[in-house]
Amino acid sequence: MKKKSAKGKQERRTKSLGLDLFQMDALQEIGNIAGAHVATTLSGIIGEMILVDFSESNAIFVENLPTSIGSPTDEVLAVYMKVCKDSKRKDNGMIFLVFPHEKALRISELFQKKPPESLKYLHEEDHAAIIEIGNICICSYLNALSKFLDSVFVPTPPAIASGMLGAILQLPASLAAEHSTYAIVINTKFIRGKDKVYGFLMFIPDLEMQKALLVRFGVDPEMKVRS
Amino acid sequence: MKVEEMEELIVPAGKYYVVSNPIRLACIGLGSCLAITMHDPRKGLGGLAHTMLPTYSDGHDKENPGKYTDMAIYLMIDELIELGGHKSGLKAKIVGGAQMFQNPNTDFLDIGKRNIDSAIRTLENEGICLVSKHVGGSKGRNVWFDVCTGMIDLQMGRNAMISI
Repeated sequence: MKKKSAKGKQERRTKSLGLDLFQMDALQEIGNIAGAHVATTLSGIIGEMILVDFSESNAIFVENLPTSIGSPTDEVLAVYMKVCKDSKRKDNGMIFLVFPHEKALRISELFQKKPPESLKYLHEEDHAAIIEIGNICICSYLNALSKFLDSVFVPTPPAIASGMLGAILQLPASLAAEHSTYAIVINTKFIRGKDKVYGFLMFIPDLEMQKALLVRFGVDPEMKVRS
Repeated sequence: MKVEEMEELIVPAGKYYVVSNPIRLACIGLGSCLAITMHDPRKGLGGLAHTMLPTYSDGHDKENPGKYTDMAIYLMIDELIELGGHKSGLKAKIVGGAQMFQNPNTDFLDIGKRNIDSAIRTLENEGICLVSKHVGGSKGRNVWFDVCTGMIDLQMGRNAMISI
């Protein structure tokens, strides 16, 4: 019953933005496909089994984006890369890999083979480790995307931020606000054992990328959206 | 009225509130966005804008001018005057405009700095006194603005709370 209600809510929201649920489901699939690649890559890096909990796609008003995956005051670490197609260097989207601060400490320990629970704070070398992990994971996501769309997508050098989730996600909100009133967000949540939130990967494709994905899925790309 | 007893209203991104009652206006999780406060000490009026982009011409959404630093300032001035405030007596403060992501190749990400510059320029053009600012850096902020006193309490990252 609760699920039906949530679905109804999503339907109302997407319809209000002129989107089709079928189109949204198709976009969500890329989260499942590419997110699974990231989970495998991350598992290999840290030697722990990481799984995809769920992927979802949503049309979110840009001003609501900073609160879309958690409380604005949650302490997190985020790695950001822009997505560019081929050598044209034209932006085709944004990708954020987000780890809760506590998980980032444990990941950094595993990556650098430090004793468990030995890190209380993230130092410069830990930030470097998380950047490297983010770089590898995001490239894994883009590899899946490149294969799926038969194109080459390359990322810009990674940038890292540490702090409140709401403050960090104001960047994609502002960048998206330059071109649209809302953003299509394909979000993949990762879990490990009992850790219900191990991390998030947030992919925000631009309109051109959305259309390419829909065509590949055999879905009508004519988005009746207010761009 | 004691601060603890005061009603608190969170101003979401892209909005501005102008009020004439004793209330605390807050912005939680302020990153590259900017909090602009205006206060008329003689009338006890105040407003807070939580802006996302520097200028109205930068954005796509023309129906919500509160998203834009320059337009939010113009609108807050107009509404404070409508409530009985005097433009010449308005005192402004700005907080936020951080560059959350650190990378030598990401100057284009510095929307925060552009927001700050736009606020300073617009306030100067409007002849509004900018009495205090706490801007830039690479950490998020939480901001509480006391409309009665015009004081701002803010916390940047895990640092101790300060007042400006």
